[in-house]
Amino acid sequence: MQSTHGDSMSRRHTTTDQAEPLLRITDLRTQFDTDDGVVRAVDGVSFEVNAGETVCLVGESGSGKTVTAESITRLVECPPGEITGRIEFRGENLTTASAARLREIRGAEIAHVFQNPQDALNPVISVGKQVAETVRIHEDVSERAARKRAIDLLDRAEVPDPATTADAYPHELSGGMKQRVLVAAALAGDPDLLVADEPTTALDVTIQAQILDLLADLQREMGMAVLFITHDLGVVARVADRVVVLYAGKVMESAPVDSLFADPGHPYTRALLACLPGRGRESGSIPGDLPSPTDPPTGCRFAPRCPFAVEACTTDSHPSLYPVAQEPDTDRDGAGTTAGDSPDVSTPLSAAPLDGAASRDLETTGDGVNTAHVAACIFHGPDRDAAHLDREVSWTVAEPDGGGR
Amino acid sequence: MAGDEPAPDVGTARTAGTGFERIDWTAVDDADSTVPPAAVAAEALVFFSLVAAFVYDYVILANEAPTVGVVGWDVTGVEWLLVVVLAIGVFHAALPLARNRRLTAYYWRQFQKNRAAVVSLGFLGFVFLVGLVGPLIWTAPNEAIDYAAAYQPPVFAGGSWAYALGTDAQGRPLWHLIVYGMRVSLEVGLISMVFAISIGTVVGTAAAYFGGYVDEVLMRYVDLQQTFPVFILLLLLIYLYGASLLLIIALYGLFSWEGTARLVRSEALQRGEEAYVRAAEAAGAGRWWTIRRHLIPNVSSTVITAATLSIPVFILGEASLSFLGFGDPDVFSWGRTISAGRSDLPNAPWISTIPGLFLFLTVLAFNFVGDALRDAIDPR
Repeated sequence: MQSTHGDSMSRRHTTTDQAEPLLRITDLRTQFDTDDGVVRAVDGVSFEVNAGETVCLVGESGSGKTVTAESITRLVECPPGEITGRIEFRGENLTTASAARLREIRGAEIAHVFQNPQDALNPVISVGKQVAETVRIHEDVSERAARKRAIDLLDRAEVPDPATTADAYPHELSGGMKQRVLVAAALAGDPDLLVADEPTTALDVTIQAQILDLLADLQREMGMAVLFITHDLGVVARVADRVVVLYAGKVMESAPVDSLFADPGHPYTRALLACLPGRGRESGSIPGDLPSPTDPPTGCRFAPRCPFAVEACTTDSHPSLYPVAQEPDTDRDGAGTTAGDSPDVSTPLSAAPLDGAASRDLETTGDGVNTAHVAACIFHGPDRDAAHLDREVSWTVAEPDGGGR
Repeated sequence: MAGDEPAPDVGTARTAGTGFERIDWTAVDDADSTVPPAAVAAEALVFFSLVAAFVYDYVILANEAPTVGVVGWDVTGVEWLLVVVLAIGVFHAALPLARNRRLTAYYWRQFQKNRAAVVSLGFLGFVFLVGLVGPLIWTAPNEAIDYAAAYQPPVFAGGSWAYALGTDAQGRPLWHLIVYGMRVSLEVGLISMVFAISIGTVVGTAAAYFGGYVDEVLMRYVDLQQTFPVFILLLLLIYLYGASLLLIIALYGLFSWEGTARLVRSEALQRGEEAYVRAAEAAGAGRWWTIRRHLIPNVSSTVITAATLSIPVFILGEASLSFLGFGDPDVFSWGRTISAGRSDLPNAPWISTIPGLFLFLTVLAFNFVGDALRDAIDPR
């Protein structure tokens, strides 16, 4: 919107006023100095993870999901990386924490499960020792006490015959078993937050379901929060409490999982949902490519690929997150019955009056209404009447080669 | 869980408010441990007693008195080093292999695929054993001088069984010279190798892991050392201080690790990018932990191969120095025996050729074994 400021992301409306969240990320920016320029992999991302809940970071490849997750405990190599913003874990700002403090937190309080179990296990160390490693890093225990604990953890991760498997080497285990070992290793420090970076992507579908169930069971059992990174909306529907949709390093939408699927607030989310292979319908793909990370478009980063984009989307600074209010006159899933009275979408929105009062008004829009579901789209700003989302645009039509399964 | 720091008492801290069962970790039985602390204690004890014996030998014992009176063995400085190297080998190669039978059996199956290497390993085992205990069984060549028995041909050339491999110009049995030469080769090869490989591995891993200036400085020094003619330095030092086996071994060990360092660095650079190194960091591992637990074990196949292939280089180097007459005059190196037999080549060719054959076979065997090891233990 023309009325938003570049940094207004940081003033996004928080969710319900419960206790301090376990993890609060505010205006996180992670950039890399490369020969081709500064790559802003994560550009002003804010979200929260409450204790015990599962938050999914969703986005396509290159959207900054992994960099966001790795910025939390500064696993991003710095330099060339540079992390700014606030990452508060139980009120402690991790962006300014010392390296020693971060090492204490890693594994013991924030644990990671990585994408490819094949690569994440050291081929020359028995898996039992690798599970025991986290224990031994954080606690001064003897090797055999750590081994006992590793066997117990492997058992907990439903590895059959854990005592024998503990002596096995990674090449002797199947992919699913390796991922179970990695889950066991991540649990070894008894973390409060588990960052699972596409933990099922490298596995086949039947094993995926098993791992997801295992993670859910363990999460319930241990009461930890999970930050789940995936590009698979099927997985999201299965595990998430809340969803944060990332695109080109920015949050597009943040919503409880039900309202995200029922009422996607951002065209990009709709596009993602349209790409989901479904039963009895064709799945599409989003035309175009991710914007250049060194030279992102002004305005909404999705605007160049967005069929709903109006001129204001591309000329303006990126819109802030606005509550996706359930207003009575809006029925976006309907046939666009209320859209008829909207002005012509080609009307230049930049001509609309802009003053301080209007922008203040914007920032307080969320007060008192359900702000758990927010989207960074012009349609949720003050000019939403001018740029109605109710136009009928079919994603499958927009993409010529949208042949699904 | 709920924000409490891990308390020193693992058993109680773990259970508070978690879904974990109440297990007192401090009370778990020690029945099936993987690394018995007994081995660590034994190693400490062995090295402590070695140091004590060394001090006793050099400070308290009279210069001429044999260290081990029973067998009359006066241990020299080089032999002390050899004992240390052998102890390192026992604790860090033989014991882990014996403990992890399954892995050892797997390596052996892989190794066996190379028949030449199995034969070579047998030959090297023979050289190793004879070189180790032979000097205690057979008298030193200088005590076996018998001019009456000079130029005896070996048994296959019509000689007698009393001198199975023949004798040299002074009537010394060639077998004795070979056995003492084995000991020299053993010392030169193993001690220099341990020196060179240790330094090379540490420098290579450090350069790869720390990168930046550390890498730059270390690798530029490696370049410097690579272009530096160690052989000339050796000749200069021998000219200045006199030839001694210890000097030769030390110089080879201290100035020929650059190849290993480069190899290990490039290997460690690749391994450092692996996901498991990042996973270890994500689990809170510090730099040294990552190096020790993840980088070094993964470059170990490269290191072991490099180590095996560096031994024959050192043995050959010492033999050539001795052949040229710059070797330690107190030890019976194969090179020295070969050199001494040159003038008798027309009438007594066995004096040069038999030690030469042993040298050749030893070097060849190490190369075969090194190649087979590389194939057998590569984790990828």
